[in-house]
This record gives sequence, structure tokens and C-alpha cells, in this order.
Amino acid sequence: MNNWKIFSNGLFKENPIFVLLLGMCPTLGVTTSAINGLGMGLATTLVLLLSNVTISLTSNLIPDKIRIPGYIVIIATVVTILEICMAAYLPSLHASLGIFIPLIVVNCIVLGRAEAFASRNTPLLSLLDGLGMGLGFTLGLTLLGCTREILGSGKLFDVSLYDESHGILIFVLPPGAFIALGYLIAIINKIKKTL
Amino acid sequence: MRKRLDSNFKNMVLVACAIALFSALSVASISTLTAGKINEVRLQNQLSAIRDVLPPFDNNPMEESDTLLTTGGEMLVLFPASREGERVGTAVKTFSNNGYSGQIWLIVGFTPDGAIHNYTVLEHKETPGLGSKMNVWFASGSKGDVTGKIPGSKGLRVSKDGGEIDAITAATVSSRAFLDAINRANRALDGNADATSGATGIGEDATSGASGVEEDATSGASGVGEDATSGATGVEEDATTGASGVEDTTGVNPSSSGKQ
Repeated sequence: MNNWKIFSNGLFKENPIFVLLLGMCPTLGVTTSAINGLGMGLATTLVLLLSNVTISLTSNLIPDKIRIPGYIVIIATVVTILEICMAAYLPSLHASLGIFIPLIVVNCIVLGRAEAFASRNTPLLSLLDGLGMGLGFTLGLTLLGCTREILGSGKLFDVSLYDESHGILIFVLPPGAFIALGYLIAIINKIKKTL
Repeated sequence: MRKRLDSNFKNMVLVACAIALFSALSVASISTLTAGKINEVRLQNQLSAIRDVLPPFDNNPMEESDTLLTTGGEMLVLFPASREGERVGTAVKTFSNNGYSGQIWLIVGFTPDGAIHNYTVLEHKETPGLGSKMNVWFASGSKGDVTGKIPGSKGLRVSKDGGEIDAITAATVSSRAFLDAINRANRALDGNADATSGATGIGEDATSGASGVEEDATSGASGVGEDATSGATGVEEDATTGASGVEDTTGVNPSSSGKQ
């Protein structure tokens, strides 16, 4: 596998949201608007990068039987440090994303990549994989966020498209997330088939 | 796959302890390093929130702040602001437990005549797209404009409850909670954190001193509307099982059911 393949794998072929269906909790929970999806995606990407590299570097030192708890502690540490640093140095970003950051710990895409990729590959490849998967996740979240924001509240990235009172309320609520995600996956599968 | 350490007992214990120790140390050191900065940011945010809700002032309201404790242990903070020695208003950090989910925290600014100057939502967990609109819905020029209103001793109420404030569409519970926080701030101005005096007629106030369970029961009932009796029974039951003020709660029960 060359480097580009590893990077683009997460973007398209194994997109975490549309193909792997991993990390559904933040996917369905935070995508009420495009900007929320984008923010959550980028924060997850950063965590993926850091955790993939850390785990790739330390994987030889962690005995097999306790690798999962080990990874979880490492990921939780990375996320906590990231959150503290954000609170201190990027307070406005932290204010808008604050509640989503702790959710990243339980995002199975992070643990999934640690287990399936980072623990078996070199730090450089793990970095590429984290970047690809993270951006693929961001792409998925942003698309879903756009769909829900347009249908639910008549806006896109907070720019009003039509009168908000005509929005279909359910798309802002959790059930709307399932419906929108289902149709998005169907459309993407259809496009893939015709390609 | 590369060679890993053997999974024997010694290795596992050592590595697990090492990871835990390393994590704890790194989080602790980062936390200590940034603590001062985070506190500074928090104070700045508070000050800018106070600036947002009051007319221009030149003192430092945080130095003159006054804290009231509710029976539930929450802190209401009063920030008196003055300009050239003359009082221009008071900002009150206030909360409500009656939100759709979790507590709502606001800073509300009152001018000396008791009218609301402006408000800022500090923290809430209301439904995105519905209750979360409270940060703009009640602002000056919006549908539920509360600025310039004087809550007085009766308090503000949503139009559904006979008041004059339009509730957020499809988020009456959040709107009631928002006004509950404002009314609580207004009562705090009179130095009364729990302020049972304002309780008549407003169900929310009934539970101000009680535990979370009861509050949920009450707000649940007000959300359903028609279910007044069962809601009220719920309150009563909860009160007997666990709470701080049984008398308190039973005393106001009629008002919470009467409200429906």
C-alpha cells in the first residue's frame, strides 16, 4: 500500500460514517448544524492523529492482553489534555465545542483505528491513516450537518436560506439524524455503483 | 505484526501501572500549568458577560459581588455596577432547574428601577434548534423580548400561563425555565435566594428548594399540561421519599396543580 492509498482509504473507500458506520454517537448527536459537524470532525481528527502516533510508538511495549484498556487510557489522556489546552488558549472554540470534546473518548473510530491500524504500523503510516480517517469523518459529519440544517432550520452554516418556520423540525431532533443518515448512505451507495 | 511484550502477569501489571502513572502525571502537569490561564479566561468571560447585560459602568462589579446561597446549594451572585459612584444597575448570575434537560445558567442585568436591561445565557443543555434558541429569542427586538420588562413581585410568565412573554415555539418548558431563572434573579435582588414569596401561581418556584427528582416531576407535569393530577401526585410521592422540605413541597402543591 502506498501512502496515498492509506490516506484516501479513510476518505472514501472506508469512510468511517458512510461505509464503516463507526462513531455513530457523535454522528447522530452533534450534527444538528453544519458548523457543529465540522467542529466535531476536526477535533476528532486531531485526537486521531495524536492517539494513532502515540499508540504506534508504544504498541510494542504493551502486552497483548491489556492492550485495549491501555489504548483507552492513552486516548482519554490525549483528549483530556486537548480539552484543557483548548479551554486555556482557545476559549471561544472551547465554548462552542466544549460539550463534544469528552465524547471523543468514547468514539469507537479512535479506538478502532488504534487497534486495527496504529498498533501494527509505523508512526508515519499511522499519522496518514489518522489524517485520512479524521478527514473522512469530518466530511461525513459536515455533510450530515448540512443536510439536517438545511431541512430542519432553513439555514446553512448559519446563513438563512428560507424562513425558519418552514423547516421540518424533526431533522433537528435525533430521529431526523437517523433518517438523514439513512438516505445519505443510500445515495452514496447508489453513486458508488454507477461509478 | 511486530513482536510485543509477553502477556505474563508481571509485564501486564508493570505496563498497566506505567500507563496509568504516565497519564495521571501528564494530565496533572498540564492542568496545573494551565490553571491560572483558565481562571483568567473564566473571569474575563464573566466580566464581558456582565458588560453585555448592563449599561456602561466604571467600577469592578466582581470585587463588590455578593453571593446568595439557595437551599439546594447553588450560588446566585449579584454584581452591582456603578458609574462615577452612581448605581447604574445590577447583574445577577442565576439559574433554573426546570429546563428540559439539566440546569440553565444566565446572567441578567437589571437597571435600578427593576427593569431587565439585557441577559446572556451562560450554560444550558436544551434541545438544539428548540430550547437552545433562548439566547436570541428573548433578546431585544425578538418575538419574546424581555428587555425593558419589569418582573416585579409577580414575576414574568409565558402567555400560555397568563403572562405577557411569548414562549419559544415548541419549547414552552425551556421558556418557562428561562423565565424562572429571570424571576429568581429578580427575587435575589431583594436578597431572597429561594424566595418562596414569589411562589404563588408559578409552579416552578414550588420546587426551588427541593431535590432534582421533584423538579423533574413538576416540569414533566407542566410539559404535559393535561396531566395535572398525576404530575402533582408524583411530586408528593417524591417529597415524602427523600426530600429536604416535605412541608415546603406539599404546601405549594396546590399551586403547581392549580397552574395546569
